[in-house]
Amino acid sequence: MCVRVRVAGAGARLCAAERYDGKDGRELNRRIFAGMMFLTVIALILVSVAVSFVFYGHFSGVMRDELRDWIVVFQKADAATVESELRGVNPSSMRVTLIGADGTVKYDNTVGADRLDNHAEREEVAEALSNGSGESSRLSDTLGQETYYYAIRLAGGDVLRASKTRSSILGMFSKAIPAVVIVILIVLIVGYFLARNLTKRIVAPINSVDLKGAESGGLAPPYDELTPFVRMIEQQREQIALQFDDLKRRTDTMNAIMDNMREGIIFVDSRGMIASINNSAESILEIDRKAEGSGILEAIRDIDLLNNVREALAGNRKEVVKEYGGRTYRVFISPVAEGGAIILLLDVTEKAMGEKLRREFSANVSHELKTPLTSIYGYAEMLYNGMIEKDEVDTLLGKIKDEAQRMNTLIQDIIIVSKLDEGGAVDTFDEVDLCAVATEASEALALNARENDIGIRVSCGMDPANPVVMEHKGDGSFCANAQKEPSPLCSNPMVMRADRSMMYELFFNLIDNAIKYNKPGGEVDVGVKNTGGAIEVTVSDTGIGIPKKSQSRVFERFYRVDKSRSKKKGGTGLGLAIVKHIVMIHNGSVSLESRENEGTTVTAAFP
Amino acid sequence: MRSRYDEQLSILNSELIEMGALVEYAVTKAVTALEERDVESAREVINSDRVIDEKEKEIESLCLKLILFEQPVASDLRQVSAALKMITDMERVGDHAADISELCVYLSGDERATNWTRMRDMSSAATKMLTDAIDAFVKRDTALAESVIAHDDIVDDLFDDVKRDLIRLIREDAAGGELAIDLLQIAKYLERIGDHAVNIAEWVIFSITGVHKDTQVL
Repeated sequence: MCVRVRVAGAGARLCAAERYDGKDGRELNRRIFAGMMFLTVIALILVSVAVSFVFYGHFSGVMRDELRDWIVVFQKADAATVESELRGVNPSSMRVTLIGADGTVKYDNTVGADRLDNHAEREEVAEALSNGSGESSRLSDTLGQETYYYAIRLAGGDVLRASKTRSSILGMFSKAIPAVVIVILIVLIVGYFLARNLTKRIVAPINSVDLKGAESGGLAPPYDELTPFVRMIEQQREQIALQFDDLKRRTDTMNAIMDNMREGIIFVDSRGMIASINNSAESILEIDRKAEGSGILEAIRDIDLLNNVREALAGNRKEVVKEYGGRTYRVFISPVAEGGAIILLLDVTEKAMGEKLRREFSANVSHELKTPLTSIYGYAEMLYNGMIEKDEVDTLLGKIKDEAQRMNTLIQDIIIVSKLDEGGAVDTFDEVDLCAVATEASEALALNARENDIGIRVSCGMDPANPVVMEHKGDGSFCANAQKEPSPLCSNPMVMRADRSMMYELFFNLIDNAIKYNKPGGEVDVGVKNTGGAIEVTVSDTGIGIPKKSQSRVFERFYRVDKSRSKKKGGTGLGLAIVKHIVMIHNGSVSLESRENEGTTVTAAFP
Repeated sequence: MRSRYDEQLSILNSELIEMGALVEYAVTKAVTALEERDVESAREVINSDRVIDEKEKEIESLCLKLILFEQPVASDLRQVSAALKMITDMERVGDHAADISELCVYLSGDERATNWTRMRDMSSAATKMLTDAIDAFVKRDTALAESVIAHDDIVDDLFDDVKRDLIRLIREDAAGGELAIDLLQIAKYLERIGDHAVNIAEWVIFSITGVHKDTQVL
């Protein structure tokens, strides 16, 4: 609202300072004017009084001399001459009175002599009678008039008195009053403009002090009297600059924290407008424009969130789970004591996913355990009720044994998976020769492979082009003498830091799968090679392969491509999940390549 | 004095956005309830219509107060008058959401209505139009508003498709006639929601440019 710019050049530098309403007589203009007026009036009055006195004294002297000079001529004249002379005196210029020696008035040119009483007692007459001359002055009845009398004793013994009336000092002064008033009026008018002009000229240098450009060498006070004031401003400015820097540092820190935190944070003021929002919140809520200063709904079109914020503004803390951009967030909305609320967005997608996985896992486990148990229960019940012919009992018992075996395997696998879920303990890591482990695992499965008419080849070597090959002869004695006499395999170890039992589990599962899903007369190739920096483990088979659409899912728990086939083979659906977990714990990566009816290759690489 | 006026205008803006969000939420919820046969949600939508009606009255009185006490001019007047028109459309959309929900409650016992694909296409198209219209208002985006108006043909075409499907349904199974008519009603409501979204978009354009349906009004 700084519309009035009083001093040209001062501009709008200090809007608030330029605002003034002229109340309380605090304007400089008025003060100067009042001072000027006071001085002028006092001076005028004093001058008038002084001048009155001076003129009064002067006129008094002049008049007395005139009267004396005039009257002294008559001192030697006789009475008749005097009288004739007196008649020629104009009453308006002077009053003359001839008084006898006894005091009776003989002649008066103003008033009839018979109307005047005895004058012997009058001061000037009495004086003249005794001393030859006398004078006095008396204030007349009318205010402001004073009459001066001068009397001499004539040669005849009579007394001649002359008098003149003039203004008294008061009268003289009162005559000057109109003039004084006129002068005061003139001074008033001139003084008004003068005061304004003067104010402008005094204030202009103050207003044009450059407060901003004072960084170089301090402020220059326009008047010496203002030096303390200017110093104070300087000090304050320094203080403000310090405080501002401090404040800026603090806000910068706050902003840096807010912008670099992963959690989204939004401050809402008491009217429900967004006061501040950090980068994370903006990206989480996909706000593509400046949200600060706008309403919640304008930025985030979520009526439920708005209602929660309103509750928070009313003083209730709220906590909700929301989905934004396909991720799950826990949203805390807390009221702030100073008014407003804070919205905090925590990404709980992983946690929510984990919970979902766990739920699914429990459901799967229960299902998987229930299936063999149901069979066992069914068979057992049939046996118990004697519904089975004697010769079929053995078959049934065999089935019960198989199912129980399957359950056992399943539980073992679940235990392994659960252990792996907790994460690998690095302190159990040791130097492990993968070749040895691969050999051990294939040895354990050799019998199984033979039963299914499948050959296993384990190849180990630094040079993939020229591997050290140990062939399985089909009699189960494969690598049986590895411990006794050092084979080329054992002298060329593929050593890495790993958990030996886990690695065994890895090979066992991969080779087991390769046997299970193979065709009669098929081959299983197990390869361990060092590709310079990374140890690569490959297990390939010539089996039935995995359909394309299932390839991405085979590492999921309990996922089986062909449920009935897997069940027949005693698969739990956990094998590849276990492999994946083990590889992950060892910071490796696992990939799968497969063609239907041609075979599958699983590759695990450990850096 | 004027600052109060500015504040009231900004309140009007956020109230409009809130009403838009309420309506949008109601429609989305009604459609989801329909697909998932969620009678509970449907009843909630029916109840929320009262809130939308109240909001309409609130905004209406705010607009009238603004016109009476502040005599807005130029773009402010456009904003206020557009608001008055928009809330009518929004309120109608809210009514349609409630109507759909009522049919949803009515249909919940019927197991026959299974083929929702086209209906789902239609509802998502109509909801998108509504969302975009309100977005256009929030962001003051005339291009988006124009796209809403262009989008109406898609919803209209989908309505024709749904109609054809239902005619076939009646021809094949005369007993399903009642169901078909209910479904047709739902489709009609969705089509109307699309039309109201177009109206809202037109008023958004008006409030920004002063041009309504290619005619300079203010």
